[in-house]
Amino acid sequence: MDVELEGLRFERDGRVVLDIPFARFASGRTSAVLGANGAGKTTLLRLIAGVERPTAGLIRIGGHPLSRPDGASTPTALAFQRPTFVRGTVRENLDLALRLRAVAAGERRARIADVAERCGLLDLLDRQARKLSGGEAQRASLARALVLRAPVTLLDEPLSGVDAAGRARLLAELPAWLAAYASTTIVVTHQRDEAEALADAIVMLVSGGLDRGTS
Amino acid sequence: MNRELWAIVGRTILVSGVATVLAMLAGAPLGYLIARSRFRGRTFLLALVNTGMGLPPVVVGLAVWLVLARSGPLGALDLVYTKQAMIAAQFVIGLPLVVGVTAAAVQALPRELPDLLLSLGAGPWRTMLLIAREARLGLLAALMAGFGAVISEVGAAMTVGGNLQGSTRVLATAIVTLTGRGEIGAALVLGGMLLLIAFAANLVLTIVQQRSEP
Repeated sequence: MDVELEGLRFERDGRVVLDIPFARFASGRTSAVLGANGAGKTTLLRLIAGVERPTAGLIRIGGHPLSRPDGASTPTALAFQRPTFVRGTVRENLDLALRLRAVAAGERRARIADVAERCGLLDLLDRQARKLSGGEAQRASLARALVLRAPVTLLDEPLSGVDAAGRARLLAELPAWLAAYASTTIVVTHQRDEAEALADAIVMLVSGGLDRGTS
Repeated sequence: MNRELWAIVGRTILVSGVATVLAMLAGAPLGYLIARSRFRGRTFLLALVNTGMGLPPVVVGLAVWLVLARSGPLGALDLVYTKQAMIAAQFVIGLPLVVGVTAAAVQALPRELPDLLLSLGAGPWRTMLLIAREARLGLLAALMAGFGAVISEVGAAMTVGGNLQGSTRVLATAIVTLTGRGEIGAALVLGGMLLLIAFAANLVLTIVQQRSEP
């Protein structure tokens, strides 16, 4: 599904955080939004995920105006920059995410087993999610977004909080995970190498506005 | 005496139990909203709530009496010196405790948790229920704090209930009456029963609370 932003504007405390006259993230592709800290990258993803409402403008996903996330009809899956979990094991966190999307029990078990195998979570499934190390938590958080198989996957600094070795490993594995589970993907990052490794197209976010970058 | 004693015990549990449940039903969502919302005056409101956590029961009783008295705005309801009036007063005492403890419990959760649940498609109501589950230790603490405060207070129960034998006398007010009459032994027995009820309720809630801890 295409993601289109039209006249998108977001203000916080009277300050313009984002002002994007028009942008389109092409269906089935992985797009990276590259920008410095504070450029509005996280806000952009939160708007597309429906967690924040724009001050003005429209977001369309697959041609339909975006509404608040609502169960199975939610078109997006967002992996937050800082992995956040409910109390319980990694398995319970993945299961909750799928339950909220109204996925049937048998299908949930199958999807969790599949994503755990592919994303290297088999040993982590029954551990308390809030007690994972930085790299493990990031892996579990990404798996939770991917297991939803949403039409649009949103990754906010997916390699943050991971040590150098873990980062290199994740960077090598992530494209295969995206190919397996994600369709349209938007990754925001401040690291050019991440953007180049993960994305088919890169746009720059500078002071709340998007510039075409390299493709 | 025995029958009256058990009636007092039953009335005490009824009045304070209903007041606590009502304070939880109103206070927990309110505490959640205050913790989650960002609006002008929020800090001031939290300061008011925190101040309310230590409201003198006799002042609450007086305020509720003024509202319910015949000349007051709700005088037509004719509720002064009834159990309902006592429940209303104890509700006012318990409410800020529940709101304050709930707000603190919700604020102690990971900052992005509500947004995570929203992004997963939980919707506002389900998000609130899931957050309540996450904050259940704090909510049980709110319940214990609320019940402990209302069951042991005397001032409000005396002012709006009138300590009427066979009608609005509860353990705390009965202890005052017996002490005034010099019946110290009987007062001590009722004091022990009051402590026992408070302890039993807190024991059950603490067991539930500790079983919730992973």
